[in-house]
Amino acid sequence: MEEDRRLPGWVLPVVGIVAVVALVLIGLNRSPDQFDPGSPEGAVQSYIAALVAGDFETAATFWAEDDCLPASIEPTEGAPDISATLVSVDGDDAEATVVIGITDNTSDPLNGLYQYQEWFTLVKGEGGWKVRQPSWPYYDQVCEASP
Amino acid sequence: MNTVVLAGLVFLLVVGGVVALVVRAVRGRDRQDEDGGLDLIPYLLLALFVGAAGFSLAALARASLTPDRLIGRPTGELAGALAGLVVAAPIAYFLGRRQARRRKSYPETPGWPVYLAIIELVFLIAFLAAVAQVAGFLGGDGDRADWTDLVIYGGIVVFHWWAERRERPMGDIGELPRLVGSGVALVALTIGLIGTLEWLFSIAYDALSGLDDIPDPAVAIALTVAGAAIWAWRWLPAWDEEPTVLRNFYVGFVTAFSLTMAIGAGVTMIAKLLTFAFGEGGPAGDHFDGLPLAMAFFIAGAGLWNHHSHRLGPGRTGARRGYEYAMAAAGLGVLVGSTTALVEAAFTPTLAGTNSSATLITIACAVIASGWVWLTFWRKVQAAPRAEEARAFSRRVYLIGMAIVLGLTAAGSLIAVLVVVFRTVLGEVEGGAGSLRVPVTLTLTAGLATWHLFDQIRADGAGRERTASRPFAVTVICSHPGTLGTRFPEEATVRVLYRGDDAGMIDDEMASAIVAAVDGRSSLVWVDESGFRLAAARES
Repeated sequence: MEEDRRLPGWVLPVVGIVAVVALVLIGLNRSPDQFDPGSPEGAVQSYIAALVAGDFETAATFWAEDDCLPASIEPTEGAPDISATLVSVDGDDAEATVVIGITDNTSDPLNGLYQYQEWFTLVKGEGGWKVRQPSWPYYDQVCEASP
Repeated sequence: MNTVVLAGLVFLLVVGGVVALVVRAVRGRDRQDEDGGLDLIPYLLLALFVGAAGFSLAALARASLTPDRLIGRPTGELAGALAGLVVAAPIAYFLGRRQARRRKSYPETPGWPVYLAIIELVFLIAFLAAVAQVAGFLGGDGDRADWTDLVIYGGIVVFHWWAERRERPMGDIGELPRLVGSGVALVALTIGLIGTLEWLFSIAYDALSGLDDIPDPAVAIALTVAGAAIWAWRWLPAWDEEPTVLRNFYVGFVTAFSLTMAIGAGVTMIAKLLTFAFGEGGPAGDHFDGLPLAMAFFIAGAGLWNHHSHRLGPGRTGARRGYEYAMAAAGLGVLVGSTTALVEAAFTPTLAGTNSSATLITIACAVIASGWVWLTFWRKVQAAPRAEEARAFSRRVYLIGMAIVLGLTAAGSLIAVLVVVFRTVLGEVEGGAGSLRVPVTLTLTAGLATWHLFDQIRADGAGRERTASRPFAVTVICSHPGTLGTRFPEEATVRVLYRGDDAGMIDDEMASAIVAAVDGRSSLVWVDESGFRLAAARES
């Protein structure tokens, strides 16, 4: 009786393969969520989108100007090839910290960071939320970070 | 392109090599082991690959289904998860099928319960961590909610519960998966219960006298609910077999740990009250703001102790022995440490005024409580019949283990004392008496405790020799003696008279109790539905 109730051996692998294929298809067809550009996470999304697209002038418009700014608007290693998720948003109406999870599509997985988190400090200005002391991606800085 | 092809070839070579090694290893064992052997290595490999496949699947689901994607497609995450799955899942599947076939021929190999226990340990912890993460997010205090982890890790745990029910692990360690599941769930339940109770008491305390910070209850409540449900599922159902060494150890340890938790919290509360009564506490609202947490610890510990102490079994069971010796060990260890701390606190010179009575009161409470615990439990174990007690494994672990730990402590302290003494004699250090307080006290307290322990080891040895040299006869009137005959020492002559009904069966637990009660003396034992009775008989 016990033997009769057992599933055929092929059921589990077939279900597993179907589930994996479905998950991969869903993942590949996902488009980024649209965050409110007036929110801290929306500002970070627009900022990173500009960086990934290589539109460094647009990206630089998200920098808070009252702080230490990079020497060049172009990152040291050019436009990053990444995908990113929102991890957390914390703060108030004047200042916020946005944490994102980054997966670097170009990194060698056997030699260095592959997935990591980055912290962005944003301040609310006249033109919306701005990134203070941009530290990601890597820029050549012209001054030491001020408190 | 050439690099990609080369990488692919290397990948295939590595995976193929691993598979070939595994197949060769398990085929070799097939030929070698007529009885199935331990079968541990295939099951450990299976656990490794199931673990890799499970965590890869969880990563795949996170990449595809969890929200808050800022930019780009999750190709990097998908690639990493797929790579793990492609390597681990087929090996896990074929190894799992192969082990399922072997279980039909060798159902009692210990590999199966060990495998189930490893999976339960790893994925139940992962599941409970996911519960805490999602609860924290829903409570507004967490970063993100990877709800897919709940589904994947929960699914893996439930699948293995189902496999365990379908093919119940047997043998001496067949209970291991249930015990591991009970233990992990109990830890989650305890953490959750303490957090929930602290939250409730904090609200009440805040209403009475104000409190700076009331903890967020979401994670604690979620862990309480999830931990309680899993613990009830794994621990509460009736056990098929008599208690094994593993279950005795588990029950004894949990009972001792929970009582230690309750006593520690109780001592903290009493010390707080006494400190306040002696006028050392400052404003009452600030002084007692640790009470919600202490009360939570006390109630959780007392509740767990109440439940598990009822499962120690009647008589001198292995679980009861383990519990009592664990408590004696905890009491003796804390007594030595807190006595040393008390001497240090009492005689440390102060710049102005006297030493803080708050510190002295708190440490004195610890000394009194640990001394009481040690004396209580040491008297309990000494009151048990000595012949069997002296042979008990937990007693030997307690005596020898504590003697080694405390003996080494005393020896180390003595070295520290002598270093100071010799440096003073050689004229290098002046007025070094102050630095001798701790090492001298520790040498004395740990040394006295070690002497006591070695004295007991010697007394047990002498008792064993005395008992071993004296033959005795036991006549048992029962329906079935069970394993009783194998439990008496070689000096015993056991005679069984059958009752002719089923009212006097002897199980393992009763057999142990009878051997302990006989205690190496010639006896008559009568077993009926109410238990057993014993009468002394003329020495043979």
